[in-house]
Order: sequence, then structure tokens, then C-alpha cells
Amino acid sequence: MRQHLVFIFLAILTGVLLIAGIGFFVLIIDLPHIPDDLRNLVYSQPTEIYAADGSLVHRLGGKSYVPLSQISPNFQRALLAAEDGEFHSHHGVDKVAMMRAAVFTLMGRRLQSGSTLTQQLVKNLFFSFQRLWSRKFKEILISLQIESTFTKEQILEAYCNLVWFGGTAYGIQDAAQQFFGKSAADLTIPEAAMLAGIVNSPYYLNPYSHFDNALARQRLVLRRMKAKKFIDATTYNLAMADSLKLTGRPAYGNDFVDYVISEAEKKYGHEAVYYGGLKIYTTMDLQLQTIAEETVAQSVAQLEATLDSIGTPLQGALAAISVPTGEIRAIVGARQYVPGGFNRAVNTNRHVGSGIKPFVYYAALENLQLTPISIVNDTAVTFKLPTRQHWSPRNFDRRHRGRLTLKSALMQSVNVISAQLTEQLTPKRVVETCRRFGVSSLRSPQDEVLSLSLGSAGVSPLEMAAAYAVFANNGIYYKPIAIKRVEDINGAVLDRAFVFGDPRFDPKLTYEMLNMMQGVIDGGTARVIRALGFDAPAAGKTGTSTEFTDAWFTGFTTALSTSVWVGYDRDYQMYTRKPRRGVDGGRGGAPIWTEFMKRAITFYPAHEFDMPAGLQIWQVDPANGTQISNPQFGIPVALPENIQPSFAPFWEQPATMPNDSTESG
Amino acid sequence: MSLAMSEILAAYQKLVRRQYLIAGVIVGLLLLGEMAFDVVERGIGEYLVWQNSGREKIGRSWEQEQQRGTAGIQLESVTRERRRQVLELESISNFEELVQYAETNQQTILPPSQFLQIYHQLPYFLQPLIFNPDSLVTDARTQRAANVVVDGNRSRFNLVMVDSGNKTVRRASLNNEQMNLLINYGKEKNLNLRSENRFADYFFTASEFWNLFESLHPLRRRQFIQEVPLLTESAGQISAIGISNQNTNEFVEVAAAVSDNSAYIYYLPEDYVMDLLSPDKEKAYQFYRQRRQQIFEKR
Repeated sequence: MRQHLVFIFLAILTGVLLIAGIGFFVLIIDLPHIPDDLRNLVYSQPTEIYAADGSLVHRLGGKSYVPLSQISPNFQRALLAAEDGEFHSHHGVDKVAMMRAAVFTLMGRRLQSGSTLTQQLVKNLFFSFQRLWSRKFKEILISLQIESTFTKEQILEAYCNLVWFGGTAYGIQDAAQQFFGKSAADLTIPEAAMLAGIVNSPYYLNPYSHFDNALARQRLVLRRMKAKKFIDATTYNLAMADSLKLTGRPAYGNDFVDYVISEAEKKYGHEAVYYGGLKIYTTMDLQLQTIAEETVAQSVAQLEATLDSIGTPLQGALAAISVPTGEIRAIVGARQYVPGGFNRAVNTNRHVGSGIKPFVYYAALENLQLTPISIVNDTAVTFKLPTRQHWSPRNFDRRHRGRLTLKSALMQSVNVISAQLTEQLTPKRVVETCRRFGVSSLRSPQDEVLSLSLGSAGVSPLEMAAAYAVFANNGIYYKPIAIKRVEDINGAVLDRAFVFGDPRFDPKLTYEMLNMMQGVIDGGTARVIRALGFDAPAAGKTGTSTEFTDAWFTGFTTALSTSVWVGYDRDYQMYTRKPRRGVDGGRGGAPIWTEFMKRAITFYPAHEFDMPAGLQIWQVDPANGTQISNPQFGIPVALPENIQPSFAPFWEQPATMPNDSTESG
Repeated sequence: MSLAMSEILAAYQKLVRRQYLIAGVIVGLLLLGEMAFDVVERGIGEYLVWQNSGREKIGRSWEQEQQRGTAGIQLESVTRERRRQVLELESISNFEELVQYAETNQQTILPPSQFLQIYHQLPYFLQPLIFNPDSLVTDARTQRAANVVVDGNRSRFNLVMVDSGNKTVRRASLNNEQMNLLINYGKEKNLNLRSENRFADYFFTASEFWNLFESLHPLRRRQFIQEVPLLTESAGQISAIGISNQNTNEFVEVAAAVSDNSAYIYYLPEDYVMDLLSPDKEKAYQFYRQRRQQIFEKR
């Protein structure tokens, strides 16, 4: 009987060894080659992205490398205490920890890793983060090889330089610089413990976004250091009492950086951008970018609090451009940045509503010989479409004003007039005009429809900000640029962007439009801007898509052109709870624009717009366009110098039929 | 017998127990050795080191290593292209080449010295279409211009002088008509002067033209010779001269036929042509000289 048991035992043992042997040889078939020097794999020159002031805002793909002698022993000990207390006594795997982890896992508890530093290094170097048994075994095998190839110091050095601390911080040198503004050699015990703690979960233990979590983890690391006798009780008490001073700042500009990366990828290719060690100098104003992100986050949250609950977050986007140069200063693609998320500031999928009207009106000034005091007739109209259907534009407030000046029509965003102008101009010409203004997302022929007059086309806030800047620049278009200069790994300049204005429009007509758009802020649909205390010279236009799914405001001073969009990603309507009202550009976009511009104007002071020679300002009656002497009444209108005082021609309207159906504001 | 058997069996069992004991001791020692010296790990590790050279470079870091290689190739291609562009740009010596280059390369940056070389090759009365020569003197004295950026095509062409801070110092935008003047000046074209209406009013045979030319004020004649090289280079080939009845940007098209279907095109200032056509050439010369001065000052 006993002999039987012995044979059974031997048979099982043989079977286990056989399976283990077969498994071993199967697993080693596709194990990776290990280099003679780990630095070859750990070190890579990062692509660095700089803000306009020369400060580094993002590192891409690369890792800096410092020898172990330049890494504070405090950090080395803190790391070992936090991650692998038995590092110096095992050969790549901690058998006790592994057995404990295996038992825990078999008992159905959460899968325990029990990974040593060497295993973590191997995982970071060669494997995915998928939880697979085969991956785990391969990781163990490579760890054994690494331990047989390199000294403990070499392994620790590679680990310290490879490990990710969150954001753009790869390796201890980056982390020490970013979190404490010092070299890895100079880390104190509390700082070292904080950084060693982050390694476990760089997102949830990030001291900028989750300080309490990071502090709790730091204290755990300090306790482990004391338990391991890496520090004595006195040092421990001092470290626990120490208040950490984070000298860095939370990362801003991620949406801008994403945009820059996508632009650079188009030009140089994915690998060149991520692994080429480029230096990309951008036009981002970090201060303005910070203001923009804070404003969008706060203002969208405030607006959301007043709206019907939809169960999905309200979103916002902002793009700001330097008027004199076309350089993009700030991009915010969401109220809260999500890595790889949708950048609403540069994507052209949201209807711009009445934001398109300045282009329609400009085309009318240019082609229909109208002036801002031309009298137009706001009345019910129906257009016969090429499809033989009928279309009747509807005003936002569903009333008709009768005769009024062209400037008044823009100030009050009268849809009927915009539709009439587009019909006379033809949608094709309106698309051409928009494209001349740089709104290149409009396409022919699909956007050449009459409803384009009410902004049925999708554009991006970035396009809108650049296009409106043309009015501030007296007809000169500046292509928006985000990248000023790109250098290769040796510092040779690969590309340099020059500020390049293209005089595309008549300065007088663009100023007439600018003056009309000033009216929008001073007494039109965006008068809330003045009510909120923004008193610098400015012009702009609100935009609201049908059914309140998009609320825009794009406006500019002499220094900055800024476009703001708010809405839901899934085209839900925006209605306030009490009183129940739709959120239009004046209620949604304009307050955010104002909040941002009030802070931005400190850095980008505005002055009066320069009026080109050959124009004059009249004070006119908005109803009939006649000049009036008392400046308290009427509205100021920019007009050609040679215009006669009685000149207020009635513009001939197209044929109309009564009917109503579509609106925008 | 049975006693002997039972003794043997007992001895055997004792032996087996001792063997188990020994085996147990050995296994125990092995386990202790393993715990203390990581014998298995070291053995496997050494084996893997031994067969490392035959393994492939796979895994995340090696992929990144390959991507770094690809990045190098991509950037080398960009650098090569930039070098080619620089060489091509350096070889540009006239306005037409500059336009051709700008049409295929988005933004072209020229050093001011090269731009001025190209600028000075243009007929002097066409130069103000780009920049007023006086303004260039001012720029040269203040040394503001660091680069000249050109962009566009034959129908719309922009030239912007920028300072070292990348700010615009001076800008010119040329439309289609102006570009035609600058590019086609002095070019041989397929053109039959007799069949073109615009030359019908002022069509001269070679001998008629030379008579008019001889009667010009000597200074004007010298200007003609300077601006129309054909008069000295291939005067013998000229069979007819046509002067357009249309005015483009205050310039008049003058075509010199060298065969029935071929003519050289020039754009001369209105005053040159009026001077040529005027019966009282001395008076006309003085009149148009003054007018030309006014045009220059206006620009």
C-alpha cells in the first residue's frame, strides 16, 4: 500500500515536472531578447513641446536618464520600502510574496501581484498590462534572466529611470523636477516617500489632483521605511511632521498639446513626433491657457447647474487667437480634459447658428451694394428650394419687425434678413465668402443650401476665432498657427512659421461689418457682455442652433479673438429650469466669453479699433437709417465718407409667401 | 524459515524507512538550499542568459526602439527635403523662378539679399509694384528686414518683409494682372500681331518703328534700349511692333514680332509709349517725365 502511495507520488511529481518542463520550453519560445545594457532600452530622447514663453509643457515618448549615484539614497530606500522590501535578497522573484499572492488568488480574493521591482521593470520594458497567466510566467522568467545578467544596482537604476509618475514624468529625474523643482539627487525623505508612493498608482495618487490619497500613501511608505529600519524613529517623526511643498503646478494645455501633436503628426509622421526627439515651440500662452481652462470648467459647471438635468455632462470649448498675428493662444476642448478625448475646439461638427451671419452680411455689402443703413424688410417669407420644397425661415423670437436698417437686423440677429440676403447672394457665394474668411470646413456643394444663412453648417471654434479676427484686422486674414518652430534632435530648424497676413477683403467694408458687430455687444443679442462689466472696445456675434443644442459666442478686441461653444455631445437641448428658457448664444456662450476676456484683458489690453481712411461715423435712427444729431439716440454706424445724408436705400426683397418653419439665433 | 523471512522483511522495512528519511532529508536540504540560495532561479536565469542571443527583439521597448528607427528615417527624409528646398531656393535668381518655387512650397523664406537680387532684375519701373524703392532704402538703413516671406501663385502672390521678431515690416499683394506684368515681361510668346485687335490701332512695320525710335529724345531712347534689350540684342529680327490700345496698371503692352506667330512682350509705362507716338517728342518727353515723377511719388 505504502509502495503504491510512493509510486503515485513519484508519478505525480514526474507529471508535474514534465508539464513544468514542457511549459517552460513553450514559454521561452517567444521571450524577448535582453540587451547588454538596459540603458539602450530605457533611454530615449523625448519630443518636447514648449509654450510661447519657452517653458516646457509636455514631453512625449522619451525618458531622461540619470545614474544611480545621482539619485538620492532617500528615494532608493523609499522605493524599496514601498515596492520591494526584499529586493536585495531575492533573485528576481519573491517566493514568499508569490506564494502568498497565489494563495490569496486561489481563495478568490483580489488578484495579488507580489511583483518584485525586477518583475515591474520587466513588465514595463517588454509586456502589456493585460492580466494573463502566460504573461506573468514570462515576466518571471525574464526577471530571472535580468537578475542573472545585471547587478542589483543596474536593475534599480533602470527601474528608477523608467518608472512612470503620471503626466509627462517618466523617471525619477523628471518627477523630482516636476513635483518639487529639484534634481533627483536632492530629494528629502518626505519628498522621496511621496514620489515612491506615487509609483503604485500614478493617477489616483497624483498629489495635484488627489493630494489626500498621495499624502496617505506617503505616510504608509514612511511607516514601511521605519519598519525596515531604513530610517530611525526620530527621522520618521520629523518626516511625518514635514509639510510638503509642491513647486510645480497641475498640467494645463493638454488640449492645445493634443492639437499640436496632431498637426505635427500630419507633417512629420507619428513615429517622428513620438520618438524623434523633436523640439516643438508653440504659440500657446500658458497664462491665458490656464485662465481659459479655469473659465470653461467653472462657467460650464455654473450654467449646467441652472439647466434641466440630462444625466450627461454639459460641455464647453474655447479657442483664443492673437488678432495681430493669428497665433493660437489657448485651446480648451472640454470642460475637463480627458486624455485622447474629443477636442471640441478644433472639431467641426457643431452648427454655428447665427455666428455665420457676419459672413453673409459682408458678402451682401460686397456684392449687393448694401450699406449698414440700407433698409431691409423683416417679414414672413417662404423660399422655393431647388428640391421643389418650400422653406420658411423663422425669427428667433417669432415676431417680425418690419423695416429696419441692416445693422439693426444684425444686432437683433434677424433670421429672415439673413435668409433673404443668402437667397440673393446664392448659397454658393456665401460658402465662397466663408472660405475666404478661412472657414475651410464648409464644403461645396453640400453646404450650399439656403439654410446655411442660419448656420446649418458645422464649424469649429478655432475656425470661428480666426475668421472673426479678419474684421479686427481690417480685412487681412491670418492663418491660425499653433507651431512656431520645430527643431530636430540636433537643434537644426525643420520648420518655422512666419506671421503672414493675407489682405483678402476691403478694409472699409470689413470695418463697416466690425461696427455692425460692435452693435451686437453694445445693444444687440450679446448686450449681456456689457451688463457683466466688460467695457473694452469689442465686437462679435452670438450663435444658437435650432432647438438650443448649441450656444456660441465669437467676439474680438484689437488683441484677442475668442470663440466659445457650449452644448451637449449628443445634441440634447439646453433649457434653464426656472424660468424655463432655451439657452441661446447670449445666455450660454457670451457669459463665458466675458468671464474669460475680463481676465485675459490684463495680459492682452484692447484699444479702439482703427477706422480706415474714407469712412465716417454717423449717428442714425435704427428704424429708418436717417442721420440724427443727438448722439443719445440712435446707433453709431460706419459709412463711406461720400455717402449722402439722405442715403438709406430700401433694398428690394425677393418674392415672399407666408409660412414659418426654421429658426436660429 | 518463516522467522528468517520476517527478519529479512523487517530489515528491508527498516532500510526503506531509512531511505525515506534520507530522501526526506535530501528534499528538505534542497528546499532549504533553494530558499537560501535561489538555486532554481539562478539555474533558469543562467540558462536563459545562455540562449538569449537567439531570441528576437520583441516586446514594448523593442517596438519603441524600432519606432525610434522609423522616426529617424522619417526625420531624415524631412531634413533631406529641407536641404533640397534650401539648395533650390538658393539657386533662384529671377522673379518667375521664385513664383514657380512658391507655387509648390507653401511658405518660402528668402534672405533680404537674395530678394533684392531678384527685385533688381525686374525692370525698374515695374519694381514699385512690389515695394517702393524708397521704402527699401529706409529698410536697408534701419536694417529692420530679417527675412522676406513669399506665398501664393500666379493669380495671387504675397511678399512680406518681416523683422527678426517675425513681425511684418512691409507687405505687397500682387493680383493676377500685376503678376502677368512681372512674369511675362520680355518673354517670347506665340502671338500674331496682325490678328490681335488690341494692336490694330498702333501697328508699325519695323522701318516705321525705327523712324519713330530715331526721333525720340536721346535720354528716352536710352531708356528704351535699357528696358527693351531686344532692341540691341536682336534688332535685325524685329519685323513689326504692336502697341496695345489697353492700359494695365498704367502700363502699356508693347509687342515686338520676330516672326508671323511669335513676338516678345514688354510692358512699358504709359509715358514711354505716348512719347513714342507723340508728334512733338521733346514736349511729350518733358510732359510725361513730370507725370511719371508724380506717379512714382504717389506710390
